[in-house]
Amino acid sequence: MSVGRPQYIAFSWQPGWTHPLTNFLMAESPSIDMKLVRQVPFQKDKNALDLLSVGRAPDSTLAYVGGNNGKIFELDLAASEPALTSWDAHVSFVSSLIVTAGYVISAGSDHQLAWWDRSTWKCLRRAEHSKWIRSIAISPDGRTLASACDDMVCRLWETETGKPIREFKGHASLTPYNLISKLYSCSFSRDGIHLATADQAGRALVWEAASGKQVGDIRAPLFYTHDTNGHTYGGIRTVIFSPDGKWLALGGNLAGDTSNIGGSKSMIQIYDWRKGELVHDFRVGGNFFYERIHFLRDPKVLLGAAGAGSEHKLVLFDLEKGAMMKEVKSPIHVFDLCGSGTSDEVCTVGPLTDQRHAGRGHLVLWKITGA
Amino acid sequence: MSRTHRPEEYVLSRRSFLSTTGLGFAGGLGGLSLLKSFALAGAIPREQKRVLVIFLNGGASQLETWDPKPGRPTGGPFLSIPTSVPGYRISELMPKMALRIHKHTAVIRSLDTKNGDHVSVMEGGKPASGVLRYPGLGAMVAHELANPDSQLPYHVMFSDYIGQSYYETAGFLGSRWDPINIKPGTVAAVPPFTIPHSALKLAPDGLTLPHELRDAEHFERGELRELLSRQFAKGREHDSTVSSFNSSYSRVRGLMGNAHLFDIEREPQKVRDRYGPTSFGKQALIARRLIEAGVPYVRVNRGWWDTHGQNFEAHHEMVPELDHVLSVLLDELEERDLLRNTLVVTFSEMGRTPHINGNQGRDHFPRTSATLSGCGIKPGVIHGATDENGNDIVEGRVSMQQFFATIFKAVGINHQKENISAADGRPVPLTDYGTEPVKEVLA
Repeated sequence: MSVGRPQYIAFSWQPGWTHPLTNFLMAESPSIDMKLVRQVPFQKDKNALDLLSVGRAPDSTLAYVGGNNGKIFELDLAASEPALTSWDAHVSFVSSLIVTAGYVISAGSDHQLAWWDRSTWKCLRRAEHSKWIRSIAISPDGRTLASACDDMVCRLWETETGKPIREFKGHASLTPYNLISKLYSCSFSRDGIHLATADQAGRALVWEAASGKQVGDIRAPLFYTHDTNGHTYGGIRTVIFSPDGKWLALGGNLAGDTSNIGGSKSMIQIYDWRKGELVHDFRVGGNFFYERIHFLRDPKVLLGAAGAGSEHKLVLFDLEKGAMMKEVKSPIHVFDLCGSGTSDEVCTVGPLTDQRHAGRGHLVLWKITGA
Repeated sequence: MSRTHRPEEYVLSRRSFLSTTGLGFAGGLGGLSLLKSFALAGAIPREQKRVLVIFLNGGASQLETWDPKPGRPTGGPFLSIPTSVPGYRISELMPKMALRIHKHTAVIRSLDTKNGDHVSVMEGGKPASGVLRYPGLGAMVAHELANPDSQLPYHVMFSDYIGQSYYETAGFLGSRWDPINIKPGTVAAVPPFTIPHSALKLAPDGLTLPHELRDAEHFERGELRELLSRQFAKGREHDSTVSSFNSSYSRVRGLMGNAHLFDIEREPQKVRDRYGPTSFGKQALIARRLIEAGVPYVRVNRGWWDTHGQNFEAHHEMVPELDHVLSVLLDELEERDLLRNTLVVTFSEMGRTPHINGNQGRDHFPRTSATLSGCGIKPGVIHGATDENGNDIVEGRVSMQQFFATIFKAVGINHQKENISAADGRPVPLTDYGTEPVKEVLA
């Protein structure tokens, strides 16, 4: 997309919508860019392997990737041609991964939360849930771990022992259309005080992690709308706090024809969660779900990653100007991403967008420049 | 076998009498004339067979329902769970049906639809040929099972929200056997795409009289129309157009007299709660009311299963609803002693690919699973099998013609019976000559 003059996206406001604070201006002269450093195919032949989750070791150049075949892969990102090793971790999708100095902790659609010894790949313990675990998050001090499950309960665990601490219950089990809902995402604030959870019906809750008290309730119903084909999925696919903890960023999709993910509009909304006010409403980028969003080291810059959909890109937003800065084409649909702590790298994983080529699941390493 | 009705089948029970005439007295519609017509029609034939089809529009995934492949590259995220049939597992999204398979249901895991696209399969995979328009399943069943003197609808179809249900016509059998299509309003075409309350329709339009028209006037007009029609029809006894029009008028009046069947408020709250608050649940409850009253063929469409993207999210939402509604329906039909004469069928126009595409979707696939429950079915039979990834049928392949023949056979219809095409006079069997039903699933 060209830059240099304001870009507008067609949009007609409807009565009953959330505050129309949408800003479609594109920021001029973006200084931040993303460069593709490396692209790692995970299989040589074309098959159904999708990569769904990724985490980087805090103490090395190792990365761990979860697949839709239940495997967790280990690879060294510093190697010129990283060797892939793997172990069988789950029966089906490895939907979320956390990597600590000692463990890989994984969550799956097989209802299992599992702790793995990073040096031996031995399973240290499992905690069975009743449904698909969609997301896990670790507190900044590493002591506690949260798991968001489709039973609509977020659970807090001692990372070291796996001992359950408390449950966060507040999300409705049914959507407004009386169908089964999903709890898609959970995330800690950077000070570890708060935990956010987000569901399919467009509701995000903020909790005091230490007490379990609910302290914030954001209703963002546009993330859950009936599409023209009678589907009601959608939902807030990802939730994160801004670095200062004041804002809550929600990513997903404004439903269109979701059977083909056509006619839909990607959407990120950012709320001042204490006031319950919508601060930014980005409906730019195109026809896809924002599966993951991520604050860069510069806290004014938000990265949105396109997952399923007809477009495949990374989108940078300037939160100071309330505008999109830049779109970067991605070779893959992004199903997960992770930063690298102090460095300016981001790893994304997902299937190749062009599936005629062999090796569908890829990891892509990006370098952030100009930040 | 050509079906004949025995006089003793048409016993006017107290229950059916009250339920059938309830609105006639309460609302004044029809009054004694209507009551007379019901009495003459013999009300509800207690042993009449019926068919209730739950059609999963758009192509439901067999891998997320009746033929899961967990742990395989094609398996998707969901686990499988054991069922009440030893050795048979279904998707974890169907825990209620898992407990009931042995009671009433046979599963066909090897239905070969041949065509992997959104085409109507209700004609058994037979496209129109020249002037010949094949009738759909509903029309064929209704034609064989309906009491021609009944004032009840023969063939009722509930469309889903978007109206993408595959309409089926009666083809050469004539419009008399076409479905009464209860089609909802459209979903808003702009964001946020909410479904207005008015979009949910549970009854045909025009069941009530215009405000300015009194019941008595309406029936006087009707009787005048009938008188004129009879005179007009003299000498035109073999004119199918005239008889079809007369029949249609008669059926509209019968439908108005049966408006109460579409009134869900007449069910106790406990029963409504059991089916649940979704539109599909409400339609299924009305379908049960229609079946109970003696409507020979009812089709409830639940869509839209065309999940090229987000297949697992959509099935995660829709399969548990199917599991719940189908379970309640079977339980209720059994409790009301209706299941022994009612065949409940679920199927789609196709299945979905074992291959998972980059949008976490599954595409069109000409092989799928189907279920048959109740009347004429040997419960607990799991027929056919696919390979370990679900890519192909390795055992017990069933064609659409065989599937239809099995439906006919289960409710006592000769699947090779010939009807005469009005267009060209040729005899057309219900299913192709030589077609054999799937004997393994028949009682």
